[in-house]
Amino acid sequence: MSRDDQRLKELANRLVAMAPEPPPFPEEQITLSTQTPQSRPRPALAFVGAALLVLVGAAIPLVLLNSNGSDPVATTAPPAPGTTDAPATTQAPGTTQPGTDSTEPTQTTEPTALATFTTSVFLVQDPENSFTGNPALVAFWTEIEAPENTVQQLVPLQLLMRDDLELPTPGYYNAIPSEVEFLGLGWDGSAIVIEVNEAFRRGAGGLLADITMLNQIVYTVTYMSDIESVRFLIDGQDVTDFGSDGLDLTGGVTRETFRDSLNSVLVTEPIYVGDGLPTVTGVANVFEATVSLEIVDADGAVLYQDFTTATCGTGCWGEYSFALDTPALEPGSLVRVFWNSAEDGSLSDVVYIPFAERAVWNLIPRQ
Amino acid sequence: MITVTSVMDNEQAYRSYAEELTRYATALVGPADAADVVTDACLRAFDSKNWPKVSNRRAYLYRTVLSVANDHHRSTLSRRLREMRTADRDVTPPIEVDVDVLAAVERLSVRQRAAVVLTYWADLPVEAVADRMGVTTGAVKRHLARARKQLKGWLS
Repeated sequence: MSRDDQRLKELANRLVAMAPEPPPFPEEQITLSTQTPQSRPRPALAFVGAALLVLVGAAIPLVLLNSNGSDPVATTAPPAPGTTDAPATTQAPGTTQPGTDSTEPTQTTEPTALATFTTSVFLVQDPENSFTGNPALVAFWTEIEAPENTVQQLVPLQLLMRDDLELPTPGYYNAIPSEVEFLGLGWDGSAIVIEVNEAFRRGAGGLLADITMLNQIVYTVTYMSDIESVRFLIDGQDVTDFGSDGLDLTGGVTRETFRDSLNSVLVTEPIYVGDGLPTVTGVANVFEATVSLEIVDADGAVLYQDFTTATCGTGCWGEYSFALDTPALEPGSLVRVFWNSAEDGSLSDVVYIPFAERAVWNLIPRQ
Repeated sequence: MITVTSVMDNEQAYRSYAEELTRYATALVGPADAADVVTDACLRAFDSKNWPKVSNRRAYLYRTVLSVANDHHRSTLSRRLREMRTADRDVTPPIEVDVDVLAAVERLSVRQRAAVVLTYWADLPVEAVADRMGVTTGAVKRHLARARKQLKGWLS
């Protein structure tokens, strides 16, 4: 056993040594939960619940930084592509932000140098053979140059709004209307707070489009953060009448709030192309938690097949991950992730992901 | 509706694995929230339609604990650590904690923690770790590699 292994063993042993006594057998709760079966919470109801919790948070002073804010976290190196959690000590907004007693946007300084940000954005795709008609979200990673003191979580949002952005194929689109502007980003201690312009309030044209827009923003901005909730401000006020249905976003939006309005298969990590095997990772809510993957060539011929079991399924969302141990994956390949219909085995809710060894985009800042 | 028989079965399964599941959950979310995670995971498992058909209940419960831990707020451990660091020194924390260890693992994702603890505490081979995590062996290796990278300070 190497020294590293010994240290890891010591770490693991000391971790579990902190364990408390096991909780009592949850008999009563079992009876209650099984006698009254609960359907999955409706997003709207979940949101109302979350909205009730915001009253305390709303009173917390905010600090908003614009795109060239002086926040020190903006200069730290972003985590490696594909990581799930950013290191809390350097990435978490609430841990490093100075001056949180201010309610005014921080004055910006002139950018002095450019830095390359490795970041991730979520793009939208309408899945093939969709059961619900809900769109899918897929994570892509990219590199972009921006002033080195740019607020890190704002970079991918601003990237999404560039009019020179070429979206990957097949069929990826940006659900955020081009009129929307992300003016600043901060945190209130429990939520990421994004300052947006008035165009945000109009949504994207219809309830599903509005929710897709929110999901895309929330998944993107929380990728580089360990804070899950996102609030939206216009002129310093929470948005209480968003989109065609006038949704009240005061309580903040998380990845879970409107997840059931997405495709049953999502890809939440960019395809990992590090030292190990390439991996495809995401969450799914599919029949018997069985998620399938195929690699196809440009003509649609299947080059590789695999399936795995998500950590939950048939009514609940679970994580899945594929390690692609195959030479079939090469630039130009298409990876498709789906589940097989219980009725006829057909490919359902199919998401296509183009594979590229390098970032999808490599852009320089707008002049 | 759970019958008396199935409740007995569930209780039997629970008593068999509760202690190790609590230790596992402690590694994933910290000692303060481990009991809640185990309780939620067991409720979810026992309530699942698949539960009566599950052949390896131990592995299933481990996967469910991991799933519930993943759902747990990702910043919980960091928050707890910050609370501990800033807490009044006269106040005795309700649970004895190893702050050095928590500080070391706070930058790991839940899945990375799972891979480390199943490999180095449970001494499981990579195939068994993959089974308990519900991922491929390649994913386990990747999680371990990333964990080692994140734990540079601890390993040096």
